[in-house]
Amino acid sequence: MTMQDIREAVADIGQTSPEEAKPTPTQQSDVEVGHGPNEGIYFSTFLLLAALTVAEVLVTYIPGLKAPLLFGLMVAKVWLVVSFFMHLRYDRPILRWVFVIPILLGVIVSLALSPLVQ
Amino acid sequence: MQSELATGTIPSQNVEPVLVAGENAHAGHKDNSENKKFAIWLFLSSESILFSVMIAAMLLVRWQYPEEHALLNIPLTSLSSFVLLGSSYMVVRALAGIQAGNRKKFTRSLFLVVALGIVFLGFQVYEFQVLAHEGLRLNSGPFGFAFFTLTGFHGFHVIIGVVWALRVFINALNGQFTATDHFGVEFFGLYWHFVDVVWIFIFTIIYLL
Repeated sequence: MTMQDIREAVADIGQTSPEEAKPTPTQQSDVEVGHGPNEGIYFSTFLLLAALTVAEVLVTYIPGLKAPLLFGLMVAKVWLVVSFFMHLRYDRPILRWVFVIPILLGVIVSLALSPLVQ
Repeated sequence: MQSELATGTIPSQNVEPVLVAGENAHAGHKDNSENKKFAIWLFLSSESILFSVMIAAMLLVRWQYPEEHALLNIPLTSLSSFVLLGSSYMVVRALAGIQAGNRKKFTRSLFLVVALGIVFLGFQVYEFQVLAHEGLRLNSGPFGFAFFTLTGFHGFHVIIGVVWALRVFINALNGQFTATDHFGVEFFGLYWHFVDVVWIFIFTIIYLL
């Protein structure tokens, strides 16, 4: 090993090949976080949320299908807010789990308590 | 050469710096913002557990007290839902405004967030007064206790959100936040949307179901 080899090795530190320079999926999502959805998507999301809220109120007049339809509409509304307004769709996947796991725990607690309902 | 290696001194000519000061600072700033975002999601996660348990408790008493449940004002809370959804839209509109460098749109949208938050609280105070007049109170029984604890706790979060929004609005008027530096707005937005999500659950499960 000569001094020239050492100089070249030190100079290579921090240099990336074209393949390495390409952003990984995680890095890409980080880039997208800064931009997120455009305002048209925000407004469409709001209109959809308003329409789903009207649908929820109307569904209460359908006795048989009330509960399943309400749960479906509620999940759709939560998904819209979390995905587009909270940008979770554009963020790192770990944040989705940070949000979903407590909700699953809440569902488990509710189901565990359900035998107490008379 | 051996003496150079032994002393660890390597001539610096032709050696490019690995990271310049600006890049290092930028990387640190970005990592910090990602850590902060992760931290606020963890906070929201803990809040989710708290609200989940309260909603579960409310579900326990919901079916046992149909007379009390019939007192709930669906048209008023439907209107409240639209107000809160509108405020959530204003938060993302404010974020889009500052990201585009449009300060007028940014500050106006933030003002509307504060205003709509206060309107929501006004509706809730009115609802509580009407319910109290009709005999449903915090100490009137299990239904009243579970209902007022849950909705009151949510209302408390809205109060915090309104104060926070007001703070962000004042900072925005003072020229804080730029198109590239607006983490404060983003973090407030996450909190406010979370409060909206909790209301979506409460409105559907407690009022409509």
